[in-house]
Amino acid sequence: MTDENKKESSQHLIEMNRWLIHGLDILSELTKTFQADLRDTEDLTQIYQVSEKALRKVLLDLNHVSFLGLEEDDINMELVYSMPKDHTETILNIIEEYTDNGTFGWALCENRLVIVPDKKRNKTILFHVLATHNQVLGMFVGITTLDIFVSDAAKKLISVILLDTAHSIESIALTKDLKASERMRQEVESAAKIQASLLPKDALDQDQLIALGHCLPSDQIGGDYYDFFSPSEELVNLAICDISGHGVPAGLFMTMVRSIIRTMGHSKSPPLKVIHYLNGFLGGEIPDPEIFVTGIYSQFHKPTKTLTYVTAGHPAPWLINHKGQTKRLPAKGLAMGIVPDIPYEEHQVVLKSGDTVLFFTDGLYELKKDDGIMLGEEGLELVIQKIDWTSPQKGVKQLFEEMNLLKQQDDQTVLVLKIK
Amino acid sequence: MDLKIDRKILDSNIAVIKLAGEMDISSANLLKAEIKNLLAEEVLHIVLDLADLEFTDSVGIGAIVAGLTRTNESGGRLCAVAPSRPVKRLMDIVGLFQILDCFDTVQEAEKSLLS
Repeated sequence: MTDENKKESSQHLIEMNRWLIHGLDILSELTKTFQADLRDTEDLTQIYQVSEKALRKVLLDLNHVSFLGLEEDDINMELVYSMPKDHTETILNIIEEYTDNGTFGWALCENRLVIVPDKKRNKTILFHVLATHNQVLGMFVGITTLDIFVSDAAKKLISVILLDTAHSIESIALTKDLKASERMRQEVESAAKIQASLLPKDALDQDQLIALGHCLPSDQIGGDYYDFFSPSEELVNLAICDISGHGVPAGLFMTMVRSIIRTMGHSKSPPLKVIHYLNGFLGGEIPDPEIFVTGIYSQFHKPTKTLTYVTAGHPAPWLINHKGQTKRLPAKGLAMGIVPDIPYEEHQVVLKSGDTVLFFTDGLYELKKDDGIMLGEEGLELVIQKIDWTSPQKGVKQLFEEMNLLKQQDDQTVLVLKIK
Repeated sequence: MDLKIDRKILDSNIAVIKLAGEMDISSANLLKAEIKNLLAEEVLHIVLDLADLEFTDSVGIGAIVAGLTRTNESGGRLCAVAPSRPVKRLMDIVGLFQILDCFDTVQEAEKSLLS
């Protein structure tokens, strides 16, 4: 190697070294800005400004910098940053032209700087996809002079800057999602508390009877509902409902059902009228044909100890006598909200002292045992027969203790009427 | 157990959807989508073969009700065939047999739909 060559080679190494230090400085500043100064920002423009500044340090002749971001449909792109602004029209024309001739689409698939000489404009157009390892987030489009030379080191540096930019954009989106999800969690928690407060907590203990209920939702917000209240000295109304599905939609319908039952119940409407009205109302209100409501509305007349009830697609209640013998009460009728004006049947049963009527939702027997087999109605009957119902409070507690041993799939609700 | 769905279109332009396994909130959408697709393909009547459906919850029943409503709206009929014991019991409790015809075999269902 001649002295001249040695000198040239040494100059080249010095130049390379200077470039590396310059590049490391740019990256170090960029990382610091993204990870510290802009860590909590939700403003994408700030990210693009920092990125632009870094790109201009690498390519001194960069006339224009613009970024395209994905639209809400995650398919199309729109211009989200353009600097200087008075070049925006030109950049939009360039994007349109290069989209039409396929260059834009091709550049999108290349994870590197794509340099396109544009003799018509006497410029060089630069494209670089804005993507993390997980997803494409947009595209960088730059305009520079026609005869620009971009070294391999500069190209790599630009790729790293744009990868960092993409990571920052992704991080902002994730932070936004996390915040929205936290807000949603808090709202669901509040809704669950409100919903729980709509169910009677204390037993209704009167001289002739005790009424009580318990609900164990499988989600924070459930679709089950029970209620009992006395609209007069002689009457006690009892209701149990199950809205198909669970979660927020079912919870919203539950509050609607409760309002109707409370309003009609306090005006002493007979069960047949309540169920008819609920069916017609829900048929008109439920936007989705797959949502329906099953339920039993009953009225206990104290002087005659007669329980009048109407069932709508709901499991028949169990009557447990003072000896602990069980019997299913008759129940027939289509679930509410499916067919308006369908006829329902009213049933009556005269209760005796010591009788317990157990209303429940299907979540109580749609439970899987260890062997994967469903408990079923027969299994539930065996559990009910094992329990001493002398004290309905203790009975309900014991019932849920037994159920707790099985895998819950749906909301579980019981409503008990005990005749003293 | 997952829900398995098979479909067959008979020469009479009646579709038979065979459900097997368990249908619940996580899988009921598959049935809804299948019915929607069949109606879009201008199938008139739909038969749900429920012999191998071992379990459905209320969301699954909701999907059947939604299918029934949509088939009726398109001028056709939807009926069920041979539901297994637990499925039949739930359909009975919900009162579904008041609005849904149920047959022992696909042939019987086809004969009724064509009559």
